[in-house]
Amino acid sequence: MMQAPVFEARAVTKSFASLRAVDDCSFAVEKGAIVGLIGPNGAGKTTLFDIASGATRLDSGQIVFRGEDISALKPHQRALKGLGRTFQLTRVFPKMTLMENMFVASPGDHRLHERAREYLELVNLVDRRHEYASDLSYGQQKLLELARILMLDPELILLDEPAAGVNPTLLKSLLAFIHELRDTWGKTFLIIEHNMNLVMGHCDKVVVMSAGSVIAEGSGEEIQANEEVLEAYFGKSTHPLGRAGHGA
Amino acid sequence: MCSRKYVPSNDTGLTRRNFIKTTGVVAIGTAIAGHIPTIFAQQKKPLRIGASISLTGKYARSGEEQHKGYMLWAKHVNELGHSYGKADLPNSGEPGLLGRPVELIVLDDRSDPTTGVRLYNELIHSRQVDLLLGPYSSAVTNAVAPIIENAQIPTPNPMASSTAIWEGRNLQWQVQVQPPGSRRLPGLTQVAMEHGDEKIAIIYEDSEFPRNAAKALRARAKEDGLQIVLDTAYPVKITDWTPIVQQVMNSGATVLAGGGYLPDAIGITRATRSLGYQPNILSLLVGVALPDYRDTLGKAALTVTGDADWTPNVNYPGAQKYVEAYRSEYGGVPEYHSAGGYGAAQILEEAVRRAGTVDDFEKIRDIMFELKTTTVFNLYEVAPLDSPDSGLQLAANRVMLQVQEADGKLENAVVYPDEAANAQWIYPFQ
Amino acid sequence: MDHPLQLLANGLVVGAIYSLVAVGLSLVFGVMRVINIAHGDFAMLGAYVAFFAWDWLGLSPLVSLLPAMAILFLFGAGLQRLVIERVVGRPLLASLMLTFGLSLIIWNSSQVAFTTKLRGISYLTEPVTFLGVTMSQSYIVGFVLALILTGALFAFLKFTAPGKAIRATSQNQDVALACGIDVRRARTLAFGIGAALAAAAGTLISMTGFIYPYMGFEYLAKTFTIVVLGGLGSVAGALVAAFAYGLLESFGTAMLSPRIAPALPFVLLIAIMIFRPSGLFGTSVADR
Repeated sequence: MMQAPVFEARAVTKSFASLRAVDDCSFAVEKGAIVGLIGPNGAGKTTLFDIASGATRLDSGQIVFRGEDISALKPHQRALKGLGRTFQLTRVFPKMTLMENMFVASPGDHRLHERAREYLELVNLVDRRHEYASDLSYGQQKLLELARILMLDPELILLDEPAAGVNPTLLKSLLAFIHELRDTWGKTFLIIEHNMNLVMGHCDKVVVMSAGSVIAEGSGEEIQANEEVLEAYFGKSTHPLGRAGHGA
Repeated sequence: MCSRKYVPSNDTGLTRRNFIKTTGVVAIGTAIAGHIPTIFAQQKKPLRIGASISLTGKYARSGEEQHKGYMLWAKHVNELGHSYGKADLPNSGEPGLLGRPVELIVLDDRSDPTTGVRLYNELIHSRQVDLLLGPYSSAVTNAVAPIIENAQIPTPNPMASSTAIWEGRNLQWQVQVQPPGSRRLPGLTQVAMEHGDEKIAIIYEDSEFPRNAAKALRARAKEDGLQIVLDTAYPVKITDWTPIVQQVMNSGATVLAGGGYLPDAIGITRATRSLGYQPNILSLLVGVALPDYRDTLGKAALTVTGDADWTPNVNYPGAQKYVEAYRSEYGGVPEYHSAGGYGAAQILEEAVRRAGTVDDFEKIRDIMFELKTTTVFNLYEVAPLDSPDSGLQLAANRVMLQVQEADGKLENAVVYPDEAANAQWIYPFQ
Repeated sequence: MDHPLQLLANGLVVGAIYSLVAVGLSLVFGVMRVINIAHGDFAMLGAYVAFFAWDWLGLSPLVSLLPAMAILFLFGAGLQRLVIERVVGRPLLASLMLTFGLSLIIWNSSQVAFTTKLRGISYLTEPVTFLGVTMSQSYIVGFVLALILTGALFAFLKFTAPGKAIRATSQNQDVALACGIDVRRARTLAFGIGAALAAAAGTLISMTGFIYPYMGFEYLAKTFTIVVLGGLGSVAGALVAAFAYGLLESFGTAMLSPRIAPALPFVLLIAIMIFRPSGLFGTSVADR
């Protein structure tokens, strides 16, 4: 089942002016796992994603991908090495067709044409492949974004709030897609998500951040029982699932 | 203020750069004085003639040329006792003016009228020069006019084409040497009428000088019975004249006149050629006279007419010797600014030599106002002292040029007036 | 209105030349959010390359067009790498100040090197007539070349890998990075291409008009209006707006007056600012 880590954050630290956004943060993502990264707003989750993908430079520590320190690499180099990411607010190229969006990552290679179609088929968008991406619904754009990442043939995919703003039907197909990618293609996922049902129901492991640090790590059950996590989220009294249960 | 020796200091507003310029200029003056046989230098006190010229700033290019005209004049007078074309006047026996070596004192007004005023005050009061020559440009001339009137020193102004400086002001001490700005494109309407042209289009840049030129053209066209079928200004910052020339074409005009400066002349010619428009006369302000015009357009410039204050091929007495002297002294062909400078100094020279004195300013002044003469630059006659426009130039005329081909080379032939012409006006425009 | 076809032709020719300058300016803004004040100066430099190639070597501007573009491509790309890259992602004012300074340096050095003398190339000046439209050959050749070059740019952006990289960078730099695109290379490439197209425009202007060191600023003023009209960063918008600008000048002069015609693009600009603030083809922030 779980194997050697494909991704590791080692003592990653990043400050913006006087704010320590990420503070000595370490955790690992094992190959083939779906790992949830949770924490209150401002915990440093997205900053960590930016550091992992190279959009933000870290102050100290290391990002290790497939056993190699990639901390000094530029974002596009990391992408080409197989580290894909999506964004919190979905980002596609609005003035390109779906097919063009797919080929941005590896343009001109016609052998990839079939693959692009195949991925679009997986997300049920193949019929609209010649339409502009701006014509898609928000949820569909998320699917397109995910399909596009696959063109890079990434080993690890970082998803920033995949469920946000997606209607339940689409969310279901999105989750099915993620599982399929993991089960049949062996992809690894690191997911930032606020929907606790999703995290607890679909993640093999959960990493909890608060105020820039990792405060807990473990299975869904372990996390739900962790006092420190409860305190970080709601003070002492309430359980995170108590709230999440009403939402989403 | 009245220290005898001139010491440049900050309170006179002179910058370091200007100090260097000024001392440089004085050094040139001294060098010219150095040509005179030592005997004269010892016997006769130098005659110090002052002027401010725009040697830096926006008029620098033209001011520099005018300065060259002054310097060349001083050199000739110091070597020969007269300038070119003025050998037959009285008192031309010994080198210098009335035997006194000429020393030019030229200061730089930085193209700024206010500085010009300060410098003429300085020349008159601190430096106590013997005589004056005018500055460059209408703007500076206009600003210093009251100073010179007050000081009562007879002064010829080489490069002030604005008539407003003289009109109705009854100036007593200053004369205009340059042809007035209102007499543009001479011969245009006459030649058009002779050939039976009826319709003229006037297009001009919407700024001070072209507006005035268009006004004068309009008046002359009406006077001579031409029908103005299009009369329109266009904005300063245009880069394509095709739409306007298209309109001229649609108006049915057979004479197109106007423009503004060099860019306008080139742009209008290009548009005319491009649209295949064939008027009988295409006549443009300013640009045609300049070598850049022919260089840029090549054969597209052929038979276009335009005017000039002066050209190097005019036949005024001494003009060709002057062009030769300029070439050997500075290299290249002189522009009208330098000929104007030389010509204005010649008016001063002639008045002084006819008066036989450098001290009796009234006598020199009276002669200067009554004189009817020719310089290397142009004809000369001004409105008399007792008239409202006293000192305004009456005789000087522009010449009409036409780009013609001679021995495979493009050049500006003088085609009007007949006295100055060295070629036939090619009609119609080809 | 007389000769509508002629007016149309005049407007299109001028528009085509404007478009060469404008698409580059818009491309550069799109890819790096830099308003390049020195963009017009690239046209000027290109014009002088063509002029001296003609004056010294006797090369036709149609021949020197390619070397002029190549030289300006390298110049633009080098400038981007060394200087402009440093202000990418900084506030707009930083890049405005920087490119304004560059423009002053280029313009003033050119004035020293080339003098303020007006110059031009007399080439293919003979007019030809078809369908009642008369025009000198240089205008027609200029028009066709401008169309070919703009067409080539569009094909490049649409179909080639580096072109797609430029478009992706322009639409979303972060995603482009996440897709493995070297956005820095895309920016350098785009800047060089912009400079090369401006140089092509300069070459054509040396043939149809006249050139002088200060000309860059006058063309920049027009093309900036065009780029805003078309939507900042939109290459297609710049193209359409350039033709609109040329046609407004041509028809406005004939139907209204030469004094009013230059104001028309600005009237259009104000109208567009009111009804479609992001320009003809612009994407508003919400669309991103």
